[in-house]
Amino acid sequence: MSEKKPYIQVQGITVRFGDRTVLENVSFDVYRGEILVLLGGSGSGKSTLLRTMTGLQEPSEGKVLYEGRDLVTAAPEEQREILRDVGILFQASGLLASMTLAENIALPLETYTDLEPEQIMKIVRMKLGAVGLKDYDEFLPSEISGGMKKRAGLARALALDPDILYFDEPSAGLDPSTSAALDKLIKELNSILGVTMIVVTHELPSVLEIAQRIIMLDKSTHNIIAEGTVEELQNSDNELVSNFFNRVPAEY
Amino acid sequence: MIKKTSGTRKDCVDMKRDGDSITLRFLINVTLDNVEAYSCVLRPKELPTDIAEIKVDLQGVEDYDSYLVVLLADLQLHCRERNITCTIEGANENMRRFIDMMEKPLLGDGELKHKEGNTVVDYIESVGERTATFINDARFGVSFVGEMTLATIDIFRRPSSIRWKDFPFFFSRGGVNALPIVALINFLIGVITGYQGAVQLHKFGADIFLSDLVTISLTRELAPLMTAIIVAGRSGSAYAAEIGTMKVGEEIDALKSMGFHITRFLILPRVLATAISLPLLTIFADLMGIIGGVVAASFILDISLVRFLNQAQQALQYWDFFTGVFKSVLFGVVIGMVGCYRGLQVEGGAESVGKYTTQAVVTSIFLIILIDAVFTVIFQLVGI
Repeated sequence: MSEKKPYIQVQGITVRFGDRTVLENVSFDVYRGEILVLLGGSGSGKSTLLRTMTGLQEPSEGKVLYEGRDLVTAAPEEQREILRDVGILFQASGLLASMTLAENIALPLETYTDLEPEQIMKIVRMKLGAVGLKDYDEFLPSEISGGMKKRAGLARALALDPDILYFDEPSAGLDPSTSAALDKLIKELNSILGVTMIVVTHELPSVLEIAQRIIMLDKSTHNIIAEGTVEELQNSDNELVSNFFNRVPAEY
Repeated sequence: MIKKTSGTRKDCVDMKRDGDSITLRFLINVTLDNVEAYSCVLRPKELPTDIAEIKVDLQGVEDYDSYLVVLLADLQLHCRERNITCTIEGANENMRRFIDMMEKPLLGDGELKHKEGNTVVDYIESVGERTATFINDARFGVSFVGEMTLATIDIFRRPSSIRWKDFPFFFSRGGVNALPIVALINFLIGVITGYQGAVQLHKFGADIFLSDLVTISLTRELAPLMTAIIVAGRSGSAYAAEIGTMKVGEEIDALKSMGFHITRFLILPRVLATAISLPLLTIFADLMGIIGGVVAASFILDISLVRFLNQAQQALQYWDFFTGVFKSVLFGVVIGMVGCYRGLQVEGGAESVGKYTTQAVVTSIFLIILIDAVFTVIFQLVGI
């Protein structure tokens, strides 16, 4: 599945908030069509890394290259162009509260395409159907459950058929069954649509289910401590990695 | 992703006719980038109607997205309406899975459900909903005022029953921090009243009575009103937004679950801070407004400060000053209570916070003017 030419290159990313360093010289590549999981404990900088990779957080140092184009130094217009290939599912779904689910999904299509209104409605139905929310188009985000919000957020992230999808803690706050259904959906979308997926999570069951490759971050080193497949990390000699996979209580 | 391509049929679609059948081959990517190009060449009027079959050959399609499914659905609809057979061929395994997945929601019960418009029923429904909302609001309002009254009475029995720790913060934020804007607005109101009054009074040779006009109108009405409206915009909206956001973030529920009395813990300190700071701001506003009046009087009518103040001393009664201050206490209570009440009505998310913050300001200003009108009549009737 993965071509060996990197699709996204994260090079020497350092993020500091005042005196506090969250990420220190982090570098890795993402390959087209893979599901890459960014793993790590609370405070390890996973979400900061995701925000940096999607242009929502300016790094103190480093580059994020999308097929060779640096997102960090790009002019705002070029940044927007690069990010049009990117969809993001936010932890709290990020749906606009004043709009129905259909309006939320239609919004990027109305803004960025030349589709007729009926064609936009067809795509809205497709996307809602793909995430199992076919009959919820007229609902407001406040009228549906947390799991449904996540799926609706995913439908909106898929609206423009992005090449890359970022997920920030997709399973957070969901019951195991809803979480498993979302994992299945992520795998299905990856396999059918061929979308490159970068998933930030610390939910082990989800990691074991969806990850094709894992990058594990650690908050003490502010850097990557392990990289590989699920099996490779499960059998890692690194104490921090094995503690994480064996759920050994952290010391505070 | 969206790099628009415009084109002709020759660029986008290869159409071959064989008897009463045509074969369409897509020559460029069938993606959202190329909507404009495809919509130009695949309009119903561009397609022949004297045919029995349209074959869509997808073999050459390398890149595709949801637009492929939309395009196929449109073509199938076109064929169905004209009794033309539509066949799709040449799709690879991945493309077939993609089309199956995306097409499924378009099949079956079809269109998205939209509320059907029925003007009369909609109108009756909307009247009913508004009535129910009004009754609920009124019920909640009565219970809120009742709780506030009880909590206020309780202060005299047990002064420690409210959270005094928050009082200085709200007093400082709503009162002290409002001094500059209150000073500026009321100074300008004094100048405006002075200028308008001077022009009229000069016609009758009653220049000196400008002092009466400015001082009485400011102390009785204008300064308390303007100051209350400023505070409603600053503090009332802030209270509604703060408490609303706390409600959305389940902070209010958390406090309740820990046994805190919301009225005493959150609301009373805010209401007291506004009720005490507003009369003090009003006294300050009186002074600034009169200074504005003095400026106008000296510029237009050449009335000196001493003459202005001498006349003011004769014209101004204690009641003029105290009625303004008394009303400002009531305005303060109303602003604090309405701000907190609207904040507690917030439900859902950010949109609701915005809605009730706006309502807090609108309701406060309406009640301020209503109270002012009522008391103006009452004071007139009792002769003060």
